[in-house]
Amino acid sequence: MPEASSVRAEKVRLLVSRLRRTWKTFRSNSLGMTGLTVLVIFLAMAALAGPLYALGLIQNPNNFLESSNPEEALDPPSSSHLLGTDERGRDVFSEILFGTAASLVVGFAAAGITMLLGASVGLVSGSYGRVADEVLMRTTDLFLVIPWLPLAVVLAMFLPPLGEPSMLKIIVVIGVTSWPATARIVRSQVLTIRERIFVERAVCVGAGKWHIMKVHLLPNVFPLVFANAILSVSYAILAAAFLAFLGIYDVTEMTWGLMLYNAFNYGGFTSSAWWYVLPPGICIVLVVLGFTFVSYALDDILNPKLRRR
Amino acid sequence: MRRRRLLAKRVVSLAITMFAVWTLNFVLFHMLPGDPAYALVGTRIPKEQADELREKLGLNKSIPEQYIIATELLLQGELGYSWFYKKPVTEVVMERMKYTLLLVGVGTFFAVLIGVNLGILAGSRRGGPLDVTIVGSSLAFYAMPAFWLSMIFLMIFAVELDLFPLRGFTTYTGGDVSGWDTFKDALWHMVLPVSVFVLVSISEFVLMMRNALIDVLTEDYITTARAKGISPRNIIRRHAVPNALIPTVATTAMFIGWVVTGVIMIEIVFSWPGIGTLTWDAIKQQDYPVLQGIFLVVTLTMLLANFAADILYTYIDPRVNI
Repeated sequence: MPEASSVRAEKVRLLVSRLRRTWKTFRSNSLGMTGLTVLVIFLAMAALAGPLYALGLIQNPNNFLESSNPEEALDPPSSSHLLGTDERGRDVFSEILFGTAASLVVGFAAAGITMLLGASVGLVSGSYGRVADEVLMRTTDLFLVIPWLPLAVVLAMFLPPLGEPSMLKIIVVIGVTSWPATARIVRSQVLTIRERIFVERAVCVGAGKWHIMKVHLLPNVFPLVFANAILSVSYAILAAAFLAFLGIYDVTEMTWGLMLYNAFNYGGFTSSAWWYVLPPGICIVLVVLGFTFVSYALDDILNPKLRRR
Repeated sequence: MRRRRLLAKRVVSLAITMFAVWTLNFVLFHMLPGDPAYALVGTRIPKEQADELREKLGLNKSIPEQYIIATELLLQGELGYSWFYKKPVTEVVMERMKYTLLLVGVGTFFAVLIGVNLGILAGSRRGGPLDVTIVGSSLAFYAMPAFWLSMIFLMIFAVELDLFPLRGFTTYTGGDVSGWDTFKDALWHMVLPVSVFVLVSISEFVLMMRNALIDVLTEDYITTARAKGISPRNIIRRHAVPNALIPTVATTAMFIGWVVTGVIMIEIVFSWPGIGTLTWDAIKQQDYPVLQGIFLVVTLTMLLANFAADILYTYIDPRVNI
C-alpha cells in the first residue's frame, strides 16, 4: 500500500508536468503570447508607479495638494510632462501609471468574485437534484434579464455605507452583477461531465456528492472556468470604466475611467485635450485585448472540441 | 397544438418573471434614502405640511399596502411622479424613448447588416488575411469603451474637421423651418452617434456569424453539397449561411435587450435626448421615481426581446424544443 505522502508527491509532480505542457503549447500560440506580453507590460507599469514616485520622477495624482498646479492646467505634452497635464495641472503620464494598478486590481478582484459565485452556483446546480437546479437557474435567469446598468447603479447607491462609493463597493457591485453568465456556463459543463462514465463508476462505488464535486467535477470544469475568468477580467475593467464615467468611482483612487470622467466633465474634452482623452482609452483597449487574446488562446488549448475543427 | 402549448408556457413564464422584476424593483427603490415629500416641494416647508403631504401621498401606509396600491397603478400604466420634472414618469420616459429607439433602431440595422456580412466574409476565408483583419479590428472596437470612442469622434469630426454638429438632435429650436429641412438636419445630427454605435456593436455580430459559419461548414450536408459539385460561393450562400443565421436571431434579440442600457454611453457624450441621458440626469438629480420607471421599462423591453427571439427560433428551426 503506497504511503499517503508519496501519493501526494506523485500527484503534485503530475500536476506540474501537465502545467509545463500547457505552457509549452501556449507559447506556440502567437495570439496568446501577444496578449500575455501586453499584460506583462501593464503589470510592470503598475509595479513601477510606486518606485518612480519615490524616486521623484513622477507625481502622485491622489495627493491633490502636491500634484495640482493650476498654472499648468491642460498643457499639451512637453519635455517636463510627457503626456501633458489635466484640468488641475497634474501630470497625465503619472495618472496613467498610478491608474494602472487600481484599474487592474478592480478587474481581477471583480472577476474573482464572479468566478467564485458563478462556479459555485453552477457546480451545485449541476450536481444536486432537480429542485435545487430549478431554483438556482430561475434566480440566475432573473438576474440575466435585468439590465446590468440599472441594477449596478442601484446596488452602488444602496449598499452600505451609503454615500461615497469605495473601491470595495465597486468591486462587489461588478462581481455580483456578472456572475449569472458564468453560472450558466459552468452548469452546462457540469451536466456534460456528469454523464461521463467515470462519474457513474464513482457513484456505484459509493462516492458522495461532495467527493464527486471535489475530485471529479471540479478538476474537469476548472480549465473552462479559468479561461472564462480571464475573459471576465476584461468585462470587469470595461464595467469599472463605465461606472466611473457615470460618476460612480472611488475619489481616493485614480483610475483610467476616472481620468475619462474628469476629461469629459471638467473641460479636457471641450478644449480638445487629446493627450488627456486618448491615453486612458488606449490603455483600457490594450488591457482588454490582452486578456481577451489570452482567454481565446486558453480556450483553443483547453477545449479539445475546438482543436478538431 | 404542441407549439401553442409551448407558447402558453412561455407567456406564463414571462408574466411570472415580469412580476418578480417589478417586486424586486419596488423593494430596491423603497430601500433607498430620500423622502418623497421633501423631494417634491423642497426642504423649506414646515414640518406639519410635510407630514400632511406624506399622508396624502399614502406614504404612511404599511409597505405591503403601498406595494398593492403601486401594483394597481402600474397595471393602469402609472409609473409614478417625477420629483424633478414634476410630471408623470410615464410622460417623461415616453417623451425620450423615441429618440433612443431611433438611434438604436438605425444603429442596430446597420450593425447587423454590416456585421453579418463581414462575419460571412471572415468565416468563409478562415485563417486568411481578410479573416485576421476583420476579426482583429472587430475585437479592437469591442474593447473600446463607447463613451471614449464617442469623445474621439466628436473631437475629430465635429471640432477639428467641423463636419458634424456638436450635440443634440436638432439645431433648429422652433420657428419657421420646413419639414424636409428638419429631417435633413436630424440626419446630419445622427451620423456620428450612429457611426459610433455601429462600430462598437459590430464585433458581436461579426464574431458570432463567423463562428456559426465555421461550425456549419463542418456539417455533413456541406460535404454532400461539395460532393455534388456545387460552387463554393453557392455552398456558402445557399447552404451554410441560412443555417448559420439561426444564432443571429438569438444574438440580435439579446443585443436589443442589452443595448438600451449600453446606448447611455453614446447618448451622454453626444447629448442625445434619449433614455440614456434621462438616466444620467436622474442619477445626478436623485430622481428615484424616474430611475424606477426606466428600470422597469428597460427590463420589460429586454424580456420582450428575448421572448420574441424564442418564438422566432421555433419557427426558424423546427428542431428546437423550448
